[in-house]
Parts: sequence; structure tokens; C-alpha cells
Amino acid sequence: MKNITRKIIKSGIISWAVLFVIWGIVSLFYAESFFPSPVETFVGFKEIVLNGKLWEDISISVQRVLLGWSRALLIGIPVGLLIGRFRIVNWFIEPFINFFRFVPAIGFLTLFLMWFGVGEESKLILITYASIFPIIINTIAGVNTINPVKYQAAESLGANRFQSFITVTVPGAVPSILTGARLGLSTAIISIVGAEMLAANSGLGYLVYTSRLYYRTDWIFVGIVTLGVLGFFADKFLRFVAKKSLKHYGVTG
Amino acid sequence: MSNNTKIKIEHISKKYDVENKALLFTKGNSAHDNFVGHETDYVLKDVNLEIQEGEFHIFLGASGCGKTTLLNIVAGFLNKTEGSVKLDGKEISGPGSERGVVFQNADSAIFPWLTVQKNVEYGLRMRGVKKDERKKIALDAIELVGLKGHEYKYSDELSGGMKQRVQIARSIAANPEVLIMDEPFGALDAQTRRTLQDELINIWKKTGKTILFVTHDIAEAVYLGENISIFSVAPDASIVDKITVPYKYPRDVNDQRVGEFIKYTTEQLENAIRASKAKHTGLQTADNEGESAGNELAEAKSVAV
Ligand SMILES: Nc1ncnc2c1ncn2[C@@H]1O[C@H](COP(=O)(O)OP(=O)(O)OP(=O)(O)O)[C@@H](O)[C@H]1O
Ligand SMILES: [Mg+2]
Repeated sequence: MKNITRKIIKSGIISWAVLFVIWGIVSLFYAESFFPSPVETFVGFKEIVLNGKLWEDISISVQRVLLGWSRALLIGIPVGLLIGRFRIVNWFIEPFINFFRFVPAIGFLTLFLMWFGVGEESKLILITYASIFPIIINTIAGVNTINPVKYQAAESLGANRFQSFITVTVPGAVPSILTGARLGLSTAIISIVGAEMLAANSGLGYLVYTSRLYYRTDWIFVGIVTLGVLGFFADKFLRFVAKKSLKHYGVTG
Repeated sequence: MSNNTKIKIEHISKKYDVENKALLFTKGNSAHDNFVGHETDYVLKDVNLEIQEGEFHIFLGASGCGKTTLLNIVAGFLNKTEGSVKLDGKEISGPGSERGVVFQNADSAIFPWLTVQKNVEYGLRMRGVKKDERKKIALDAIELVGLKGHEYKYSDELSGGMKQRVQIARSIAANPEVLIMDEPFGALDAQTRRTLQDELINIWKKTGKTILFVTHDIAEAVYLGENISIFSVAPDASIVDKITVPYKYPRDVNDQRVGEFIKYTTEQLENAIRASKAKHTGLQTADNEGESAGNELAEAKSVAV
């Protein structure tokens, strides 16, 4: 019996229920266009589900996030590995990283639009920019946690520098790379709103940003909740897959 | 066994560059972070030694005397400050696959993302040996160390003793000329340690490799080694005594003569420690050196019992 209550509390259901109740109570005091109730939000949700708008927004945003994020992985992981392993690469690149990672993607929004146009490219670059830093930084940290004895073992078994990079540095950094990938995914999702704020006509960010113009605060709520839910399940999925397939690399979940 | 000099150590001295140390060990190696020596101290001073081909050679010395340091120089992981180390007459300048290393801590040495077999195949893979050939050699090595049936396990499914077996098999499969081992059985329980000691002797007999084995366990030294180099204590440690163990394998630790030889070796070690401590206290006045000398003696004794 005690076990079941524990499980329920642990699952977070109670926290969510409490949040919904508070949301409902607070919404009693305000107009729908200012602070919609859960029920009103659900009605709004049904509306854009049924007319297909929400699906369209979700699919376009998910596409953008996945594209931007995979680019960030494709660039960020090798860069992080090289910086972590080779001091000379570190000396050259780290100053930039430590500068630009403090400049938020939003700061570049108008510049990117100007440079890369109003099409998809500028949005993807923005998302890539936002998610690449946690990926690079965690990858570097992962390389640094590798026990030097592993390199000694590899070298005295005949590995050259390139071989030890491929067979020790890369697998040894996997758990931290995964952490970086997860953080990168969350920043990619966060940045989608910014990316779709200007010069977009679809997407969840667009939904959140433009619904205000039609006084559809309920749709803003729907957009926010959807972003949260998407992020939540994407992260769960990523962790699950990694835990199953990368167990021996030290990925614990 | 032939009478060729395999390893020749001449006038080796080692001083850790404390400034460089910070650079070298930024990557989480905390093993030596509690170094309390003086910047100008030599850890090793004028070490001389010849090891013959096929010899089972032991480094015996108190904790912190510089055994691992010397071993790392021979393995090529550390630069020497002075002197020369030659393998087959050729100066050593870095790690090489002709010198296999079995590390003290198997967990940090084994690749946990590879199965036992893949770990054992590693050296062959680096050398570009074909898959079938690799497998054959690896399975032989795995059988040699008694790990048959565990080929597809990962290191988190192995016991401490099995992990050390993987390390040994991995080194053997790469077919080095010299096997360098740093207290490989130090963390194992007495029973497992004895089994592995016996297995190591068998492997040595079968393969005829030169073995360089570090321990601070006197009984282990006498049980395993043909020759034992006894270290004085750092700073300025060196090999001050060489003992040849006059008994045939397998040795029986319960044999009275062996027991007496262990006692004899203990005395030699104690003398070496005492003499170098006396020299140190003669050289420098204030310090807590005397206290640590007592500790090391106590440790050496407790190990011998
Ligand atoms: N990287 C390093 N930087 C500075 N000093 C070091 C370093 N490594 C070892 N030392 C010092 O050199 C001395 C010898 O160390 P070493 O590890 O070779 O001893 P050891 O004989 O292997 O001891 P143990 O039996 O405890 O393994 C010690 O005083 C140690 O503190
Ligand atoms: Mg040591």
C-alpha cells in the first residue's frame, strides 16, 4: 500500500493535478482573453486540433527543431572532441566558445534574418546556434573525464594518436555527449519560439507569438503546453534509447 | 632461457617537474595529487639495472618509493630526467607494443564499451590483423587466462579477478616481448590473488616473456620472482639490493625454507629503508620524515607476516 502511494507521488501525477487546480482557481478571477481556464484552453485546443492547424504547427516546428539540432550535433560533437583531446585546438577555438555562448540566439535574430534571408535557413541557423553550445561544452567535459590510463593502455597496445582518438576519446565521451545532446535538444525547442517569431507563417512559436493578435490567449496556452509536452517526451525518448543502446558506455539514464 | 640483456637501465634519475605536473594532470588523475616532496627533490636517483630476456623480475619497495615511477619510465609513459633505458639496446622514447602493460587498476584500464573478446583483440585490431586471425589469437589468450565462456561479457559483468585476467589476456594477445605489471593483484582477495599468481607463473613459463612486476608485498615477491630489486625510499630512491630467489617453481609458501627466505628479504628491505632514512635525516634537519620511516617499516612488516 505504502509502495503504491510512493509510486504515485514519484510519478508526478499529484504535482500536475495540483497545478491544474491552481490554474483553474486563478482563472476564475480573470477574463478568458487574459487568463483562460483549463477548460477554455481545452476548447481552444480542440478547435485547432480539429481544423488541423495544430498538427501543421507541430510538424513544422518538430522538423525545424530536429534539423537544427542534428546540425548542431554534427558540428558540435566533433568540435568538442577535438577541443577536448588536442590542446592546440582548444587554444584556438575555446576563446570564441566562451564568448559566444553568452550571447543568446535571440540576440542574433535580426542579423540572421538579414544575412540568411526570411526563409528556412535563418531559422535553422538560429536553432543550431542555440543548441550547439551545450553540446560542445558537454563533449569537452566528457573528454576530460576520460582516465589517462585508458590512453596509456591503448598506446602500449600499439594504438597511434589517431587510433586512440577514435577508440578511446570518442567512446569515452559518450555519456557526456548524450547529456549535451539532451540539453541541446531542450535549447533547440526553447529557441523555436524565437526562430518563428519573425518571418514565419506556421509553427508552434508562430502560434504562441501571433495568437495574441487575435486575442486567442487560449491558443497561446495550447502552444506553451504543447512545447512542454513535446520536450518532455523527446527527452524521455532520447534517454530511453540511450539507456538501452549505450549502457556499456556508462550511460545510466 | 637465453642470456641476452633485455632491458638495461643506466643512471636513471627522475625529478617530477611540479609546474609541468599541473599541465600533465589536468585530466582528472588524482593518483599522485598528494605529492608532498620538494620541487627540487629527485624521486629516483641513479638507478641501475639489467634484466635478462625471459626473466621474471620484481620491483620491491615501500609505498611511495618510486616503483611505479620507474615502471612508467620503462613503459614510456613518463620522461626520465637523466640516464638511459634501453630495450634490446635501443633507447626507449615512448610507449610501444613490444612492452605490454597490466595496470594496477583494471577498471580504469579496460575498455568498458568493449566485450572481453573485443578488449583482448584490441592490440591486434590496431595493428590491422584480419578479423578471423584476430579472433583466433584472442580466443587462445582468453583460454590461457581461464576466461573461456566469458568472451561476450562486458567489464561490469566481471569480478575484480576476472578483470585482471582480461588485462593479462589483452596484453598477451598483442604479443609483447616484455610484460610490465604494476601491483596487478593488490586489490584482490587472498584466494583470488594466489590463483592468479599461479596462473601468471604458468603463463610466463608457456610464453617465455620477460616480466617486470611491481609489488610491495614481500611474500608475493618471493613467491613469483626469479630476481628481486629492492628499492630504498624517496627522495633519491634507487635499487640498493638485488636478491635472487633460489627456489624452483612452484614454490610453497608454507615451506620453512621459503618462509625463512621471506624473512631474509624482509630484513633486506628494512635495512634498505633504514639506511636511506638515516641518510635523509642526516641531510635535512627538521621534518616528520622519521615518523613516516617508522610507518613504512611497520607496513613492510605487516605485509611480510
Ligand atoms: N605525477 C607526479 N608528480 C609529482 N610527484 C609524483 C608524481 N607521481 C609520483 N610522485 C611522487 O614520486 C614518489 C614515488 O611515487 P610512485 O608512485 O612511483 O611510488 P610507488 O613506489 O609506486 O608507490 P606505491 O607502492 O604506493 O604504488 C612519491 O613520493 C610520489 O608522491
Ligand atoms: Mg605504485
